[in-house]
Amino acid sequence: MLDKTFDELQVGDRLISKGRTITEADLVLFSMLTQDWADIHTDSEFVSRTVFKKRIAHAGLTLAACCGLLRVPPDSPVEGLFGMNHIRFAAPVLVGDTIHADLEVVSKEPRDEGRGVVSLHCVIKNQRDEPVVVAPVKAMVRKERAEG
Amino acid sequence: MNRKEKALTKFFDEIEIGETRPPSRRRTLTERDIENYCDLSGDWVGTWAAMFSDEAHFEATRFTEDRKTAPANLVLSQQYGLSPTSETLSGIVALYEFEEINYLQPLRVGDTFYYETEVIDKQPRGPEYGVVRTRRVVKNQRGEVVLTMVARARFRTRAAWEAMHEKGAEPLRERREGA
Repeated sequence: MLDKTFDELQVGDRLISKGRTITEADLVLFSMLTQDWADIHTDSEFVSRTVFKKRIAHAGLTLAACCGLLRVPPDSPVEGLFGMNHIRFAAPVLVGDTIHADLEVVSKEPRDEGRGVVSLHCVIKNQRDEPVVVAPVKAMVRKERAEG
Repeated sequence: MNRKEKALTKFFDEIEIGETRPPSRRRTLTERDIENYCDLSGDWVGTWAAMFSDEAHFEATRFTEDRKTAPANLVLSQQYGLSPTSETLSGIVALYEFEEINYLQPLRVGDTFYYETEVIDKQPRGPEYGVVRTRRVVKNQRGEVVLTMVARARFRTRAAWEAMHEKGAEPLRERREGA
């Protein structure tokens, strides 16, 4: 889907990515990268007393892993996203959960001569197919592939 | 509870609509940050990653002038790390939603950033919890706005926090203060 041009994309097109297990190492590395050492990500003793019971992944880690799973090729006609609004964290991602992305084209609208706006319903799901992140995404997509 | 902790810790019942916090501590974006982000996301194919893994490709594209800029999600995640709540006790339970994220100008390697925040709304959800909406504004070393966002998060009340710790054999707060 991510290598298709605006004209090739059709409402109803769907992309289900491969999966990724969010590990202990992922959480620690993300805390190292962001300096976000909040209890909820780093202290098993503490979270055992919360509703989650186990440490939960940082919001940004889940989104980063999702970007990696989508692997937008560098020559993709998808130029970029327009803002990111209403990214809803529907359920926690716990250490050991396996997530994948599920995208569906919901509408498309020509913008100018060379490009159009494609609206996608983007859901990140866990191994039980429960949504963990739900986001409507708008992407600017070129009508033609880049030369060369 | 020591003085610093009191100043930084906030529970739902103590948060006020309209309140602001002093600017956060600052952090300089390095090339290593972006490389680590790409490594961790697994995205060595995508547009952002290609800026770092394939310089020749990017010399030839319109992104040339924007080389070595941070992906929005990296800025967003690192500013959360500058929050005092990432280092101290806090009433935050979990994020519910990023209502809007606007990455207004690129944050480049070498730029120093910090954030300012304001509470724009709070709604109770039963006696123990509530939902707080905050606007966060990330600025660079020149005070220019780099990214703005509105987030909704669930907070617990101080009473809920205290009740949570009564159940444990070893009260967490005591252990921490002694450390």
